[in-house]
Amino acid sequence: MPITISLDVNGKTHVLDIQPQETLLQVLRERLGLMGTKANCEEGECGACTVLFDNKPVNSCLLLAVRAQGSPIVTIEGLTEDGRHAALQAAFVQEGAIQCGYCTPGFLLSSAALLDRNPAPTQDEIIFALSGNICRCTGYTKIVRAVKKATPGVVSE
Amino acid sequence: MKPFEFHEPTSVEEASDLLLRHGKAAVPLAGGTALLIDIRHGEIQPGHVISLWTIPGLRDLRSNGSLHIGALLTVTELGEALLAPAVEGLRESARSLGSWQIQNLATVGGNICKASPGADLVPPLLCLDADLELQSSTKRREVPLDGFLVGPDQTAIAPGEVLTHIHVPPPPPRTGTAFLKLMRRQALDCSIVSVCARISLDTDGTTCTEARIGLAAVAPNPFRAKRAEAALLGTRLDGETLRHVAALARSEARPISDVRASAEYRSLIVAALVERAIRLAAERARGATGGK
Amino acid sequence: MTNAKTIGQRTPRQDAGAKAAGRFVYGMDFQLPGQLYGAILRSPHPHALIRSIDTRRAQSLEGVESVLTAKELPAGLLMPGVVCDQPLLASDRVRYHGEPVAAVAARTPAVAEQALQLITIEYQPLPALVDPEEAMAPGAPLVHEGWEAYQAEQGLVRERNICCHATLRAGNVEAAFAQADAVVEETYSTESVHQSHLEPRVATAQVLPGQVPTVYTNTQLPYWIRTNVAHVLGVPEETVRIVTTGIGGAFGSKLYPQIEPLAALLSQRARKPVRLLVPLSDELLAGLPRHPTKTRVKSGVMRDGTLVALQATMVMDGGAYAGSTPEIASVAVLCLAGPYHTPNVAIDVFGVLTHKTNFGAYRGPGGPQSVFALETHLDEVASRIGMDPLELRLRNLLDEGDLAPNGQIVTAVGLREAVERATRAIDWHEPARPNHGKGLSLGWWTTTLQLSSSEALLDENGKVFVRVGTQEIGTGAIMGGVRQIAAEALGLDVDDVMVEVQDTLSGLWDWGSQGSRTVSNVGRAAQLACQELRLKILTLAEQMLETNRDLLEMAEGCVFAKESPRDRISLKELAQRSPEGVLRSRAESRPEPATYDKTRLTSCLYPAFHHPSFHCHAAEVEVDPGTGEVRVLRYAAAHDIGHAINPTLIEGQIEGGVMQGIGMALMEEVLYDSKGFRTNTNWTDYKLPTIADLPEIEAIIVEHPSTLGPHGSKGLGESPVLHPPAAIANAIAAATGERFRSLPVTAEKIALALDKAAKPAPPQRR
Repeated sequence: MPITISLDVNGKTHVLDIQPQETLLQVLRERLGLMGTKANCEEGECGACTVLFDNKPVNSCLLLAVRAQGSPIVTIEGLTEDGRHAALQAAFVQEGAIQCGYCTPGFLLSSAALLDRNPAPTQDEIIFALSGNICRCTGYTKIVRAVKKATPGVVSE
Repeated sequence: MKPFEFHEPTSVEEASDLLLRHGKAAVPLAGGTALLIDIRHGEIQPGHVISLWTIPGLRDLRSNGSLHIGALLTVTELGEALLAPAVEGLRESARSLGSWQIQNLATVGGNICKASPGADLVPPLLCLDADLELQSSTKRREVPLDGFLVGPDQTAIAPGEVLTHIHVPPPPPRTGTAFLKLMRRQALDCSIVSVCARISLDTDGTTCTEARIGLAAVAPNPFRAKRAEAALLGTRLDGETLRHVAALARSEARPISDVRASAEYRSLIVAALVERAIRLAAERARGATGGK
Repeated sequence: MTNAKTIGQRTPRQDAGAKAAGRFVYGMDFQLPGQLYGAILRSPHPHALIRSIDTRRAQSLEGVESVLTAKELPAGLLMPGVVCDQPLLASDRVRYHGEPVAAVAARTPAVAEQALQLITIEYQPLPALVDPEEAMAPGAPLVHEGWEAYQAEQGLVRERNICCHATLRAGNVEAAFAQADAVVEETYSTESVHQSHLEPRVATAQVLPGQVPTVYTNTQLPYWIRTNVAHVLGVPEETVRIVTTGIGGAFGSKLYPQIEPLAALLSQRARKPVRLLVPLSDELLAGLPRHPTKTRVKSGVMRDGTLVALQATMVMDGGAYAGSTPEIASVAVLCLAGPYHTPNVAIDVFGVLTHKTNFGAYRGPGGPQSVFALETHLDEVASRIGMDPLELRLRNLLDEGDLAPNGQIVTAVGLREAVERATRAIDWHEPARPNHGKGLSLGWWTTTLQLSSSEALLDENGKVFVRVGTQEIGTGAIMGGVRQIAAEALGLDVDDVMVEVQDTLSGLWDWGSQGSRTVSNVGRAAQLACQELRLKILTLAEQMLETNRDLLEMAEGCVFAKESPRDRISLKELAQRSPEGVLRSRAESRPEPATYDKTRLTSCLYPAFHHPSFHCHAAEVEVDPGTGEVRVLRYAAAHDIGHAINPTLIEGQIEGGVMQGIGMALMEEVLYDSKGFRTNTNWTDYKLPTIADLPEIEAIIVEHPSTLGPHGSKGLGESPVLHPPAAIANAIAAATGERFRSLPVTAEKIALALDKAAKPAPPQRR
């Protein structure tokens, strides 16, 4: 039986009729056409589907859309439009932290959430924040460099 | 995922009635990080999903000596709130569960009620003598966590009951806890073995007055290695004692071989991690005296 | 003013901005209006006869628009390959757990899944052959009873379950063993590992009456996909259009036509576009992961460290169909020989059929398995004669102009420099701390050649486009390297050059983004096309500026006279005034393959490493003796890649390849049980390295320019994955005193071995 939900995605309100079993990931990609959030493992193992839910990174494949009401949701499109983390995105580009790029939206959202809480994270804090995002191309070295580059006034270790 | 009906009760009573009415066809929704995967794989095929998120009063946290934890507190919220050194082991287990993304969705109550053999939060909660508050539309009861888990993915929750709070009594002074989790890689994995140790010391900070050892992933449910615990009491936690206690804990474990590890390896690791966890907990207990 | 100098610069890639903004369109994001959703029904048995297939209930399900089984295909249809032994859908027999048996297309993915459930198949399960050594034994049951009748490539030696037996012979190993001061013989084994690209495999086919059959797919090799799609549609290849979408990682997995032919047929029958996606569980169940191997290595060495004989016999589990196994077996031959002087060499690689998935090309196919066997073996040799493993290598390395074991002469040999720099980077000679150890691994690898084509054009707006026939798979080779090469050849800023990937109707034939060939070959074609285009531009400018073209320069979007820069014309104006309109140039690159000694090799489809790269990795690990856990503390990887077009992209390949190699060394394993069933078909139980599992990797660029690629470049993409298993296993041996000869070297293996070693030996019986 369809239900009506209201989602706050990237600052816009969307009222939708969905099926209860639809995940936020499905709604974002299939109903709202926001393809920047990526899909694959559907079990919280890869982090490609990471979005911010109430400012915290979550796996949108593990969050029912009906449960995603009531808190702001930010996808990579919203992060880009917002522009607050343009330096982080630019650092990913400059440092070569993007190869195939499929993991990039997820990493950017997790990194942005980290920097919002902690503008000068330590190596361990960066590792903790990004351990839920898998990259199969870069070996992570340049991703860490990019995050450090985006932290103002922090000297890279 | 196969379709289901979604319910959003606004009280425990309403949730309880729904669970009773639909029986085996209903499942409660907490974090959903385990539930959604089970539904996708067809291991559970619920006709009704009962959300707990619209019930007020399940997300509180009070920490004034004892801990009063709402069952729907997320694992991140628990981890970020736990600052008392005596419960460091619980904070460590929260940080080790899944990933940051999963911790932001998963709940304390969900981790307990899913009752995985390797449930990450359970060993420290067992070490801290946690009690569970269970409510239904007709009654409320409090039971120790120790004894609540009765088999892999099985609890002693009664039909229609909802876990609402977890209570952790204040630990004695000069108490330290430590949680160690061995995985197949350094992050984002279920445990091969996990261990929590809680050590309380006498006023001199030398002799063990209370001990708890919680083990996970080496039995159908996490459990306390009580013979090992007893062997710590009154000792000065010297090397030989610790080796003996580790061996006892190893003998109390009943590991199996599965995709993650063999029983033989798990058995070896129990001993290694128990010894380390006790040392670390004792060190923290000594630190809790205000100086060494 | 100077020409734009982009070679050697850390220029950001053309596609990075879109990827960082989440705007980049991958195959996974590609949709066609009105598309149906396909799904594949796969065999639940490793080996079984198919007694009957009943699709009636599936066909009559509301929303199902096409159902396909072998019955609907031309009888006996086999797919093209080195050995033509593989059907598109199983007909009378299934040969591996997960083999496709039927496919459907329906209006929603949910209906497609439901339709699969409604297809009734009666199987008669048979015992599965899972051990390749058993499969090789005389009298073993045949995986293909009709093996003899299959069409196969000339010169391929195959018999019964052995789909390929490749050999290398040089000198006389038996005589050499007799003369050697020490002979060491051991067996090494590796398990399969899966590419695990983050983006799934997905294709959308549109085969409608009266229209060009078109498939949009995230493939590394569009022209091979075209061959296979044309084959099943029964039409000439040039009439089929393959369009590559953006690709989210491939690593060899997306070379294969796993879904395009099926999607095309479903679309043709349904008369609608069909999107066919392989979910992760199916990809892990029945993809084309790396070949498992078991290699017996025996070498003879003199007291002074001179290697005099090497004998290696590798059994490579090929899975149920020949696929790429014959070619990969041949590559393994060369890898097992190693870049050493050993004068007497006897190598046999057997590709053997079993009832498992087709093992296939994964980054450096045949490489890490061979390097693991050889390079850990050489450490054991060093140990036997009491020599530093580094010293043993230095005494036996190939140098410039030397003869490699297959008789090819090697040039541009940066091997010694790579070895010295990698080992120095981790302070090789520093004394070891307790539970710490260092290990190294070195080797050589090919730069695959074959045809690449490119077209460069100056459009009416004065914009330059460089078109190629193969897609960017993520390495940056196309959107970074080729673009920089093109800009350099034209004398323009990188920002003024746009690279476009064309579909197969363009005719820009390309051997694909694979085999470490992309920058060197596609770049070479682009360079040639751009050089020609530059000439055309300057020739036109010569007339317009009335200045000899040798005195003209091109930069900053203009052509100008070197001596009087005010005499200039913008490319835009030049283009608008061009009598022939758009200026175009097409070029092909088809380099000469390396020559080698044909008498030394049999049944080797890949007989030489062209313009080889040379590399050395050095690792320092710490082992936790209580748990067996390995922490990689330091990792240095030195690669001679001829000439660095873009150091950031090169480091990225090295760092990423090392990560995949570390996964293979310590945690990744494609598991089959003893009956042939796949067990770990999700990422929960197929463990990939996370950010927490890796140290900062030090990538060291070594440059001994080749005569192949633009500016002397050589291939890079694959070689970084060759060495971590050996380097780390060697480091673990140094740290623990225990030698591990099978991959992955898990904490469990280490802990149990250390525990056993610590126990007193049982009393001897008299």
